[in-house]
Amino acid sequence: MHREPKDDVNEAETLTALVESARRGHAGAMDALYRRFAPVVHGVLLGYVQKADADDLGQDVFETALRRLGELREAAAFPGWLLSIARHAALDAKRRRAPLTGIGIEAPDAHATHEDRLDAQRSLAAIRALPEAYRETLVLRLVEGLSGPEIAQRTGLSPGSVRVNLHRGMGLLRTALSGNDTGASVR
Amino acid sequence: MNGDERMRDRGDDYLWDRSGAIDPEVARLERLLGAYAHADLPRRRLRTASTQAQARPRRRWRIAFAAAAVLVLCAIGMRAWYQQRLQWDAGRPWQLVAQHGDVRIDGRRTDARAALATDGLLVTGADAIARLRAAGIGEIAIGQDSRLRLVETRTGRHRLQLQQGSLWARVWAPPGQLGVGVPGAEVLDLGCEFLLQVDADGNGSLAVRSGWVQVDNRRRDVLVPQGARVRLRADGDVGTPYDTGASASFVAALAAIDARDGDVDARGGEVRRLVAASRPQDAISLLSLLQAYPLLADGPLFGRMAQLLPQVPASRAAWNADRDAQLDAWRHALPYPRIKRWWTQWPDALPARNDKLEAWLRTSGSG
Repeated sequence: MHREPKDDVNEAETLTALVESARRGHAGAMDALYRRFAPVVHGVLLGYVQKADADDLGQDVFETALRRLGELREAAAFPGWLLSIARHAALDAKRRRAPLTGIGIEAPDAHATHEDRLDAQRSLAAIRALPEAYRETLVLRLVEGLSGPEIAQRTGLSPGSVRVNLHRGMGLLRTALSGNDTGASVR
Repeated sequence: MNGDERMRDRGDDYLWDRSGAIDPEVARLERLLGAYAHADLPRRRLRTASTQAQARPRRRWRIAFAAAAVLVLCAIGMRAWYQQRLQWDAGRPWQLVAQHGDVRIDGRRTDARAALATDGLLVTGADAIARLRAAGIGEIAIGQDSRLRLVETRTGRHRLQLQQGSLWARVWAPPGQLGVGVPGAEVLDLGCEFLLQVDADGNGSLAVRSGWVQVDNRRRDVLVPQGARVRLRADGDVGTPYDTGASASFVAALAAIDARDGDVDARGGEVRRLVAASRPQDAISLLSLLQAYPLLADGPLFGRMAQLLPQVPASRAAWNADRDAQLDAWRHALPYPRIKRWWTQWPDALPARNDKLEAWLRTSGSG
């Protein structure tokens, strides 16, 4: 999938217009920003906290961001600014010992086999153990299902950085998972 | 070959954008972890700017309600304070709040706890000053070489007698609550601040700093507004009030008319000199003369009065038809606070500064 540079320009213009419109209190623009960035915020949160908490915190992050939208100097910086709020919210939540929702076990897919659920939890744990840059890009790619270019657009990172993070993160993850199979740890 | 190209060569295209050959490990992780992805769950209503905007009217109502509640509480508190301020047990002594120099009550030197009881006599020596609470309605101060007796004190009526010396009073209460007797007359507060001075012979003056003061000598009442002064004589004669900024020639002409109880030629020299020296601020004097000595309207005084208050229609025909109506119309046009709105002089509820007070008491007899 190749994107034209023109598409990136249009994307940036649209984002700027949406942010400006949301600043003026336009509910439709706020909703559009939420729909576009909710998976990315969720992915970042999931790198720190359990799914139920990530679902809940995601809305808090948007409430905070939309309330403080006036503080954002440049509309184009919205993705990085939003994810920064998400990271702070996740770290705050992580400092609390018990999960916010009170749910300790992550079992989102009731139809999955027991083995798949264990594999999923093990994989997610291994991803969470990776350095932040790799962790976030891998969660966005493998969990949220975003492609590399989409991750670049919605995080404000350059496509090259995203591709490097994916490549190196996946390498570390493969090692960690193979180590898990033999009882080793990623760290 | 750059990093991306090297990664592509190693088969990272699927990981990058799902193009190229499927990476089984990546595909397996996608399948396993997809269940953790963000689901568009029913959202809470975001408390955002737009929802805040919707909430704004409710918030405005809350603020308005809170402001109204605060105002009501303030009004209740003010009323309670005001009622409390006016209440005074009959005969309860007046507390001395400050003193300087030789101050005696009934011949005894005073201390910080001293109070002036009914029939008590407060005497001050040279350079002495005493400050007392005027029941609950205000404050008085007595200057040097003064003699003051508390004649009566109870809710709604407080009477003093200044036998000699100077007295400053600041009262915020309905008219007539505080009265000070001087030789031949009684000075009644109408919600005001004033300075009263009487010498050993019983002659003196009254200067009003705010509001109105009434001087009653049992023959007539003289109303003195803020910024005006009036002469008092031991025989009870009360002069015509004049603005404290009046020229010496105006004051001299006025004194000459007062000395003859207004029995002067309406077109004579005293009246012509008075009219020639009059300024707009002297309208109070001209009005008082016309009220006390209506025959003076036959001369230039009437025309000058009409000239000083041009906003009031005036004619000799109207004067002859209804003199009181013409006087009332002029009185209402004067630039002084209304007596009936005494509460607008609320700054009189505040205490005066010591240094100003001392200066006022020292100058009360001059001018």
